[in-house]
Amino acid sequence: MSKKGKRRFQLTGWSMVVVAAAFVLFFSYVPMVQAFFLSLKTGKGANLEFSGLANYARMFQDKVFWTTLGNTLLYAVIQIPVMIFLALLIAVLLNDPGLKLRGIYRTCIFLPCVTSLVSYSILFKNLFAVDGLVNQLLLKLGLIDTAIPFVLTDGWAKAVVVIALLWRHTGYFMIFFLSALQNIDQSVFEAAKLDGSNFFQTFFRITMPMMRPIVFLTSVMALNNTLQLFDEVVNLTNGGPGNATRTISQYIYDLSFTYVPSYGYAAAVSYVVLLLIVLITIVQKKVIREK
Amino acid sequence: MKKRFVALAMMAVLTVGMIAGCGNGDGGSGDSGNTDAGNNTDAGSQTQQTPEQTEAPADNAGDDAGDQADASGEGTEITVWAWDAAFNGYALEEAQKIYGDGVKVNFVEMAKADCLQKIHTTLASGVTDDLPDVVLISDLNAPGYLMSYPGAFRSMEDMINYEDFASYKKSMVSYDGVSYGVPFDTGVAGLFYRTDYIEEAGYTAEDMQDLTWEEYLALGEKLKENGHMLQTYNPNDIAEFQIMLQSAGKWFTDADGKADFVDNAALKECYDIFKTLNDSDYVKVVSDWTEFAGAINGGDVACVLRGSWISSTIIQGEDQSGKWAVAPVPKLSVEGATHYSNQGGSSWFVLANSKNSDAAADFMAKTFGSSTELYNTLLGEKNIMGTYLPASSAEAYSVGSEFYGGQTVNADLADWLGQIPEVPTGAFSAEAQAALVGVTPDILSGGDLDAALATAAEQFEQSIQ
Repeated sequence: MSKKGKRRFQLTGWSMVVVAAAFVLFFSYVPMVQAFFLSLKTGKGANLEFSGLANYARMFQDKVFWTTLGNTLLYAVIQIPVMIFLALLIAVLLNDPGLKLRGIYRTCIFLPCVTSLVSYSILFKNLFAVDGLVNQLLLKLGLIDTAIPFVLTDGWAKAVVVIALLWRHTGYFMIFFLSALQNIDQSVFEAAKLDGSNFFQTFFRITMPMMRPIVFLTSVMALNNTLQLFDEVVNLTNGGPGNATRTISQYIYDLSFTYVPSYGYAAAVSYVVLLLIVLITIVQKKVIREK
Repeated sequence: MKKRFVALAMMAVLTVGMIAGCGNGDGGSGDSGNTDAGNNTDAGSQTQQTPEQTEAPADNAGDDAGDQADASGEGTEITVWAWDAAFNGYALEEAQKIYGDGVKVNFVEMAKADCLQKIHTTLASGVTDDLPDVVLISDLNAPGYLMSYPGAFRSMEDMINYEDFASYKKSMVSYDGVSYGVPFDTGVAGLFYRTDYIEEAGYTAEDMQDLTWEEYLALGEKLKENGHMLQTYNPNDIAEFQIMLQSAGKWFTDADGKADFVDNAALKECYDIFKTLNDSDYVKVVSDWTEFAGAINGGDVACVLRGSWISSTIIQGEDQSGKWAVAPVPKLSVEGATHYSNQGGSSWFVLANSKNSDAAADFMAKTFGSSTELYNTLLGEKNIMGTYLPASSAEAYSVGSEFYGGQTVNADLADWLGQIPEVPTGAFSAEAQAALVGVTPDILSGGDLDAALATAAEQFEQSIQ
């Protein structure tokens, strides 16, 4: 391509994205900068005054901040690896050309992620209610004597949130793996088969390494999702019992709207979450490359 | 060819999805639906039930109410943001009838949480173009708004006589010595109970009139023997503390807005009672509003302690008509304890910088601020009880309620209303309750009460800075 042609080509490209880029700039990046300046101000409601890094210092004293941050990271640490592994496994199983009714299975497993966040949370809450289906079932089967107040006990409440997240999001990530699998050259698998590799050997030694870039992508996406977790927790447990399931996003919401608003502090907490996502992403990228 | 068709179909679906998405964004305020269970309670507290209450009876007229108002009348249009068309919307309609054609009320209905949030974002943005003229704010939240947005609300001191309203209500619509809101409905608290269940346990209506908490809990044991539960219990919800504390003239915070946890005998008694309920076998454990309402309407529990707004939930159990009654709330053992308290209630606030602020203030003053006729209509037609004292001699008060076995419920509630201890709730009730809910699991599992309260106090001081 000649120099002029290349330039023209680039111009065409730019002209296509410029409108979208302008929107992103004005509705995403400009507010981000504004939010940063907001995070340097303290005060309730509209009575804001500039006070440097006071909000960031305040976080160190704020136990609820650390609790909610801990909860959020705990969800991420437990849910994301389990989910990615399950999604990968299901994708491999459903990629088998010999499997009958593949389309139906795929649809069924993907279906949960088209449900609205709020409605599936309410559904799970009903399932795990004191009089809910799960308790009724366990009681009928004689596994427990009295109903377990799932969303009212610390450990159980966290578990219910994780189970709900797994149900909702596994299918979504499975789609990524399915499409990635279809891009792997079939001859690799055939060669492995000829060499006598069994299913698990193939899965761990061939499939997983070849999927590394897509595993990275999905884990960053999943992390992003989980660190912003809000709807499920608000609707399932409302952060309770105590603060046992409260996430950092819910805390930001509380600071802005449930309490007398501390917009500055809420913005500062949001920035810490942003920083955290960036940091974890860099670390993840390093780790995955080194392997 | 087939592929191209699929691609086109996908495009179409995505585009439609986007448009629908945007549409939802715009109209979201209206169709996120779910009005509140009555005009209730708890100041955006973090109690389990708050979001649930917003989803309870969805008697939601959606956006229609706003549209309807556009069609009729002339005069100056005043825009009002509030929740619950059947309750607040109805009250506005009646007020419009009394005021006449001078103004046209444009009632914009939103879910309660949406409404409270939208007032925040609108006022914080500083933009005055699209301000409503009047907003409804729940009482416990009101001081927070007055504190956060100085100059945003209009003082009504020169337009209405605050002495005409229940005294507890005035302090809830005031900040820094100035009164702003026009007091509206009450959440006067009552102990709603099943007459048939307590009779089985050997109690009479007379026994219920003057209960202490100790006697009330003893009633639980007796009920259990007859196979009934005393009340519902949610370990993650301390909404009943509002009733207990105010009945003793105390609150989560003191007059200076500081945490009143560690040396608050009333609060400690609340926790003793809460722990007794937690350890008992005569309560029905629930985790949300649906189960709570289900326990009431399903006949599982004998008693419900809530603001008078709970009545709208109770009377949905039509098969239980005639089997309910209301008594004053049980009394704590601390000094200054009474049988009278409050939970919830809201007031109207006129915005100072809106387009038709003057007209709105005049409208509010002449209707909700001084019209006995309006309050009589509201009570007679819909059992909506205001806090306007001159209205309490009305005819509607002396009519016995069939559902409550002929008891003159309204007269009783109105009688208690005037005796509710006034407490300075301050702006930080939600923060205080959140701090307490945070340590409640420790207390229930047997941790040291003083230490837990001290931790909560520390967190509270941190959260209000």
